Amino acid sequence: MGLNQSFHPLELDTLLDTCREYKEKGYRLAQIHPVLKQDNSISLFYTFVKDDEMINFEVSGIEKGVTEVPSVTELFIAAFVFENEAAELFGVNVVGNVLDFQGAFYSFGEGVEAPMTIISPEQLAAREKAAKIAKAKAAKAAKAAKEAQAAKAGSEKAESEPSSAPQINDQDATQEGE
Amino acid sequence: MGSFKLGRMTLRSLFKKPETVLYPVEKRYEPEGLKGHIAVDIKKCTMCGVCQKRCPTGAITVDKEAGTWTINRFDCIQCRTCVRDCAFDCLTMEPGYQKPATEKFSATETKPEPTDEELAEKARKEAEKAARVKAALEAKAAREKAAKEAEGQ
Amino acid sequence: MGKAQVIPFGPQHPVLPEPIHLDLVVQDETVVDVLPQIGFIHRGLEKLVETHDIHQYIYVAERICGICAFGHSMGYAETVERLMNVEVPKRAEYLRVIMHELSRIHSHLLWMGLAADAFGYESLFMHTWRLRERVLDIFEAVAGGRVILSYTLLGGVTNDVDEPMLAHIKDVLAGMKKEYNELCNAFLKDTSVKNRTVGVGTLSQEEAIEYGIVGPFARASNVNNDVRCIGQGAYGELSSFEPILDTDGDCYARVKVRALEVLQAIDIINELIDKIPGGPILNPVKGAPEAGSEASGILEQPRGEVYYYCSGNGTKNLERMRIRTPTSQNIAGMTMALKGCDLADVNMIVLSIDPCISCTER
Repeated sequence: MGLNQSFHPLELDTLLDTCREYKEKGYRLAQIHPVLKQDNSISLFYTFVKDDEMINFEVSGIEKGVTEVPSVTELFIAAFVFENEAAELFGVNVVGNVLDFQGAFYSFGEGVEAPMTIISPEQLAAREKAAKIAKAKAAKAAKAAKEAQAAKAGSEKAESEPSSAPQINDQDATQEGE
Repeated sequence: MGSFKLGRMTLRSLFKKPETVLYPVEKRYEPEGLKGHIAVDIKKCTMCGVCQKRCPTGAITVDKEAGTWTINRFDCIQCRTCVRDCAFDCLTMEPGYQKPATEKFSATETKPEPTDEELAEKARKEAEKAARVKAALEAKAAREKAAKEAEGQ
Repeated sequence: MGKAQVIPFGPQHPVLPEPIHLDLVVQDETVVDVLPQIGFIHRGLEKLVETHDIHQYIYVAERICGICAFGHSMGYAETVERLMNVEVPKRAEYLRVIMHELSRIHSHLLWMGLAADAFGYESLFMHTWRLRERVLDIFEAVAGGRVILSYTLLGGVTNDVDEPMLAHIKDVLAGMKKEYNELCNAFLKDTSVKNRTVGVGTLSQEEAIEYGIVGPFARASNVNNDVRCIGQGAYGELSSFEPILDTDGDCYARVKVRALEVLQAIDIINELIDKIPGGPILNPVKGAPEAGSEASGILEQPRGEVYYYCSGNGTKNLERMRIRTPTSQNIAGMTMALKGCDLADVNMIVLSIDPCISCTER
């Protein structure tokens, strides 16, 4: 026994249809939350739960304040909290919220807008560090792949099959990278 | 339907000892593992600064140059992270809460100047170490020499 | 019908332990419409993952809510363990569930005391809180803290509970159960309790499903949203687990569900203490979550189901942490339950969902 969780991508156009479909199937909308991606686009996660099944749909590529996201409050009224939250903390443009507070849900101080999208110095440092780690990892993988290639090339020279060698090596490199 | 179902319990508590204690006069029993405050055994401390690095609230400051270990008792959240992570067992969590105050202040412990005995101990240890290193080097040289001789033969 | 008037309720109100503001549209003492507003104690704890690493964030997660402090640290730790594929030792899982159920007892007793206070039964309130103190004493002896325990670590728990201590917990609970049955009798059978709760703020099963409510609030309307049924962690080792349901859906049913859940929690703890296996209590977590990895988890807390999401970026800090607490899910249901009630019943209905606004806003 345990929780079966899964993550799926979802297109913005099919959002409402999917919500309707899952509502009819008897799922409940557990929550909605936005995530600020590294490229400053926003992804919205819609979570449906039924018994021990948890399905997370990721609607990605939402631009702050530009992309119009249809509200699901017509189907799930409890989502009004999350949609107001997404609109105020992340600046997501939610259209058609039944209980729209228009920016007065959390009242922030003067001049503060979408505080969760402000990239703090710590976050920037973490991103740089993450990039560095990823780079080091990639370099290591590439080196390992090169060595494997050299080893393979050496062995393949003996077998005298130079034409198909690069293809095989590419596959090796991806495996090493993983 | 019944009324005043709590009657028996209420009556009973009329004749029981009170649940509360008369605080300043009488103090509650403090169990052994109570998270009250952090105590430091400054003599054992090596000023490595792990506690400062791991502290989630940044309450601890370690100054290696000056040999001081400072804790802001009002920032400390008694999570025991530093006690767990200290490699030299010089931090302990003891019962007894910090007394309230009108402003935050920190407590500083200074590493004492080593006494003559400790200096002598240190010198002895260093001499021992030097002797060990010397012996090891000599043994190594002898081994190499023996190997060379074996090769030569 | 008289003229409609708007009466502000909260954020400061004697019955509310935490700030929520309701605009009540009232017509002749009857509430016709409600507009809830939160946002008075937003602290931005989700943003703090950027300055605290995965181990330090446990102590931030604990401070989301004072009552379910242990639950939040447990749920956060479980999700990060899932993110990093860490196996938790069996004994640690048992200890976590024992502590979690103890905190359920203390949370429900706290709520029952507040409810008794809300309908003006002062002596019941005092007795409930007196009993709650026993659980806090157990916490103090086991973890060293009364409310904020700091007992969870990634990969296990901080310190083991030895046999005499486990036996002591059982003894205390046995003594508590005897007194609690008397209290329960008062809560479920006393006329003055019934007068204030029966038939107040009713939500039918269909409405409960429609509004997506969770926790004891949903179970009082015969909707089984109890996440413990999934059997995560040591819950899967229980010989049987039946969620407590009621069909009435009014305030009385909510009191009843919570009152019976305390007895259920005592049984769960006794069973787990009998079954607890030996072995290590900590499997230390090393390294950092991988870039792009994500995990989610749910946990049944005293107030209902809590959702956690976290994603890693390759450093010691998480990229994003999300916690959805039961009250934010229940606000919609609460506003619906308030429609059509008497003005004098508003405080009882608001309290009956066990609102935890600090949780909601984080």
